[in-house]
Amino acid sequence: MIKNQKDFWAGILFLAFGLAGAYLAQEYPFGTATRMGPGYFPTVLSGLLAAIGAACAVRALVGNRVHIDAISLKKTLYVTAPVFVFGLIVKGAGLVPATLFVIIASAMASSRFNLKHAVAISLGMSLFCWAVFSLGLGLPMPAFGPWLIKE
Amino acid sequence: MDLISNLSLGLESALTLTNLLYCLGGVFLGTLIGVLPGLGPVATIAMLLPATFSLPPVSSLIMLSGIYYGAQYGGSTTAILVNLPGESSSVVTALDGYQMARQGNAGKALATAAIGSFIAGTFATLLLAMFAPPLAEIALKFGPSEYFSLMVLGLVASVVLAHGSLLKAIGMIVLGLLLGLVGTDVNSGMERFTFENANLADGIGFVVLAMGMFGLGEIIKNLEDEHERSSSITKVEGLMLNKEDFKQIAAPVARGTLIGSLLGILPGGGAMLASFAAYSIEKKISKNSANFGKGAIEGVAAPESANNAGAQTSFIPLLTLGIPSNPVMALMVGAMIIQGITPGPSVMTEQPALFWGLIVSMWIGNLFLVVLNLPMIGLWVKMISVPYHHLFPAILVFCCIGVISLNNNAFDVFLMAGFGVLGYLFTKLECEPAPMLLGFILGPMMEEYLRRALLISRGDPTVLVTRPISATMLALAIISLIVVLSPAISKKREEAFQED
Repeated sequence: MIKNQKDFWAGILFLAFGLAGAYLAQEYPFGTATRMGPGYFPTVLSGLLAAIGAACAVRALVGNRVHIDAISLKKTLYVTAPVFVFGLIVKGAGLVPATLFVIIASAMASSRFNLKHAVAISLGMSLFCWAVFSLGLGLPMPAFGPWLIKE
Repeated sequence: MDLISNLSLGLESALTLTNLLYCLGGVFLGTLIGVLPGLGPVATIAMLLPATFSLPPVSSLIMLSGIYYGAQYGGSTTAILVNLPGESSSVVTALDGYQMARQGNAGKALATAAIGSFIAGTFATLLLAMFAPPLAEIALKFGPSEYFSLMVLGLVASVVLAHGSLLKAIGMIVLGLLLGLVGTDVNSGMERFTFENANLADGIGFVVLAMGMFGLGEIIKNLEDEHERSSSITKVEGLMLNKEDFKQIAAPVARGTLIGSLLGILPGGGAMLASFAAYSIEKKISKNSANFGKGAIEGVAAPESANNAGAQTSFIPLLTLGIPSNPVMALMVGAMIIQGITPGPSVMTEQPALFWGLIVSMWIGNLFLVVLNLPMIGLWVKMISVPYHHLFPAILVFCCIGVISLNNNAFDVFLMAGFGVLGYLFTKLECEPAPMLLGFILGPMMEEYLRRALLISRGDPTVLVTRPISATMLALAIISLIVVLSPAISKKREEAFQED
């Protein structure tokens, strides 16, 4: 039924974004063409996006077969989850622990992961980042935060 | 002579010791990060952007453009030495450059790229200095409807000249436009698409979006096909070109420069299209065409000159009209806005020192590229030799620190992670993230211009087609869409981007 899976799901994604946008934009006054309200442009764009998405999805029903390559959930998780955790802990625990964590955790995404190397790199990088960003550029990020050091 | 006095004003502001140092620093950092395989110029610039925010406007823009050239040149170095083009514009350089390196001529290839780039950069800078003032003068007469139509044309052109599915590219633009509207509406003060989250009240940061889509998304994609990289980088020696070589590259450099300068001005053009076009034209007309793909020096000279010329002249629409023609320029717009400069024709008249200083420093940046990069080739080779599985965690940390340093707000980091997932998903669906970034930057501007245009015309939308300049631009946009959609052309277009 669906021939071009890439186009089909891209279309569905656009359609979803468009419909969601149009739904949310209902709450903003539309105004008139002369005095465009805050809802005018978003509504027009959302409608356009939904139409493009629908066209894209329908067009995917004919034509050549195209499959989507396997999506690697594991790698996606290993790359983005450490970033997320960095955001959670950088202020509380400080720059050094956050850097250590990101490097060691994300290194596991690679098929050539080696714990010894990862630890070594994380130690070097956290020292480097602390020296450059905290000391050098004076960013308000302490090496160890209030969770670890009582002031 | 206006040109001379303008350029000397530029020299004055660019040749201060601090600005020279920032230019040098930008070129150095840009090359350092740009040579890393798998990191294109957009990701490189996005990563280094936060470092420039605290500088005064002139220095920050000078440093940024230095980073841009450095990143561009760094990408070529990687393409030549290990056949891993980090960005689309050095894909064609890798074809002959890598072959030259395998034959022991890596030094020659690198020198050709550097010298070709410098000549092209010089010419394109002059072009920019000559054509920017008259263009800006025209642009000053533009009203809101002209600007709106110009942006439509720019966005359409950016996808027409790109590769891949047109419909999906337009979808990405519109999605970008919508994302650009997130935050407080300047006119009504109403918060839109913020889900009552105070962190979104100021909108989505463009660095956050760019780093997520281009940085994180790319990393996940690269990790998928971790192939064994050729560990043996050929030793680089013989960085000098002899008389024969110069004779051989003179014409290709000249042709590449012309093609690149021309294509760089087009919206959506820029470095990538320039290098593709220059390579295929050179292959057709060169006497040495049989050797193309087997290590022809012309095959390095032409695209390298073209991409640098294109990189340079793509500043023309940005500086005169305030319209970014490619994602790198979109980042520049973002950086200018953060510095409190509204890009557009008024920059030249209101801040001539900044404008001409930037132009002169472009040329100085190109000079630095030649005198700095060739002697430091040993360092770049070391950077390239770092295996990717050691490299990407470090890149990830830099992205995190870069984003949190913007506003010291952890929410930006979460958002970046989200855009990373989205970016990866889109590459899986073959949706290019570049048009989305352009739309994202232009979204709020387009809304504002449309609002003003309709206010002036009392709500009559035909104002967009009754004013001649505006009508011409919309017509051009529609014509280019029709042309690309016609079956014959669309087949050609796909072929053109599949370089053998």
